[in-house]
Amino acid sequence: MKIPAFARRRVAGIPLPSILIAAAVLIALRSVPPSSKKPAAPPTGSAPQDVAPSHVSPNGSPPATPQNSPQPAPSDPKPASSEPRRAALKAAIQEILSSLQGDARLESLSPLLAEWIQLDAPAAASWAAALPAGPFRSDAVGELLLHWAAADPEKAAAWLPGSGSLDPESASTLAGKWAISDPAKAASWAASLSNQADRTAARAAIAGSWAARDPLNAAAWAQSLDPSDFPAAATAVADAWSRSAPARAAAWLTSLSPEPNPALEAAAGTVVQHWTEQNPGAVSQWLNAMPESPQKDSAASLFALAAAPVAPTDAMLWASSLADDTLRRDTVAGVCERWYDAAPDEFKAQIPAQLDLLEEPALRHGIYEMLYEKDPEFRLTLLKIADGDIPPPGADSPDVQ
Amino acid sequence: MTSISRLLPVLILAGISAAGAQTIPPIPTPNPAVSDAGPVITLTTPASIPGGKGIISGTAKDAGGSSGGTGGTTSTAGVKEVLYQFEGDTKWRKAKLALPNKAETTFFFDVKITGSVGRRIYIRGVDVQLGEGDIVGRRFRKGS
Repeated sequence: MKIPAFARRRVAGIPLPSILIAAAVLIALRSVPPSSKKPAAPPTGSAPQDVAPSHVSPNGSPPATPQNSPQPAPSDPKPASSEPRRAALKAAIQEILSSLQGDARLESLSPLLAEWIQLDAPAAASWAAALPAGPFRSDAVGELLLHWAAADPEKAAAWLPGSGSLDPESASTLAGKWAISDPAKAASWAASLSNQADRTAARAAIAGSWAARDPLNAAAWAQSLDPSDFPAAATAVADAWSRSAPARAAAWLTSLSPEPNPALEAAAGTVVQHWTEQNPGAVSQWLNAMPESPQKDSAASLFALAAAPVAPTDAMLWASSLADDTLRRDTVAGVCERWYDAAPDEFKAQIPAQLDLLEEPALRHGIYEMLYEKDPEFRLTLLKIADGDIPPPGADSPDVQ
Repeated sequence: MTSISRLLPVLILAGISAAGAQTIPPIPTPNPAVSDAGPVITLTTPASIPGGKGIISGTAKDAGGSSGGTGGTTSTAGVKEVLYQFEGDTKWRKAKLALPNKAETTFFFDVKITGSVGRRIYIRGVDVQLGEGDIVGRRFRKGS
């Protein structure tokens, strides 16, 4: 956006617009309770208005709070008595925009947007959509949609496609929230989206929200989707389902495609990750039953990494048996790093016995590289053990597995 | 003379514009000898992560690029790495690739999302010729 020359002027090093905005905010805040002057504080109960704060009631009377006054429905006409509240809310938002950055700004804005949605959702939506394109607009639209979808998802859904703010992120936010209360309606809305990326993101979010509450129906719905949307929806179902019942989620994936399916790689990966946290032995059995394929390697690699802190020797066995050279090297190094981070003394005691698994120089090199950063002294010791210069610790005793 | 009340909306917009501007994390300079758009990142994980703890996954697809050399022009497709960064951090972390160096691969990384508004995460891919893809940003929130 091109800023006019007068707006670029500075006074005492401070941009002129900032000074004017601060002055306007101060004028507006003089008519509301002091609590609203803290950017991070809950809103004073005043609603924003579409014009500058000059519409603040001149009598300075404190506005009604949300707790002691009836809330109009989002689509209700704006009552005249709410004008001071609108002005104060608008002023508080402006103050936040000018004084905070990053997540702190969004955290402070969130309750104000929630109140604005209650009082005048279309105006709040127009404000968010008019922000300059970029991460902050996405953040603001996302917060707005979360609140709006909780209060009136159909109106939010009707607004989004024509707002200029529809993208995979906003579609996912709205659809996911809506699906908590009404997955069927959310699914119908998602089907109406013309852009492939938006539709895929919306459907994945619906699948995830739905599966967290009703995995069987969510899974059936995901299976009914077209091939372009199915993998993301299946991944979301697998993710949500495997948090509570990973074996069932794994069985569902196997039933979808007995042969490894590249489109379900992410779905299998999420199941493996969640399942390993709960029962690594069961995952190992499941992997053993899979036919050899790049997808099995991918799942086994994820299993090895996830199992490294809790079952390191099993993890090393899986990692060193992967077929793909790069994947094998990366996974062995990753397993060793996680093992070392979780239990360095155990790692140092047991890794020499694992060297037999790592005959390839590339695999050993990955471990030496990791140790170069984390434990150079032990790296030298391990090099000497590998070269036979010194015996491994406990060489006369049986290996600890 | 223009009154301040007429200028105020313009100035407020300018202020909002300045306040809304955020810096996209810097990316390394790509290899100028290589003509390559870099991998395209597509996220499959929804914006809401149950409990805030979970796995973010997606696909990285590389169409390959051409590089000139004494032996002529070659074209190689392959995703070397996928990197992600939390907004506000300076460090790019490596995501786990299901099939490294292949033209299309799934990527994964663990996240723990805290805070009422979640975290914005930027993701980018680098191909085997060090071509950089576009950065994809998305805010992930803790869901129920």
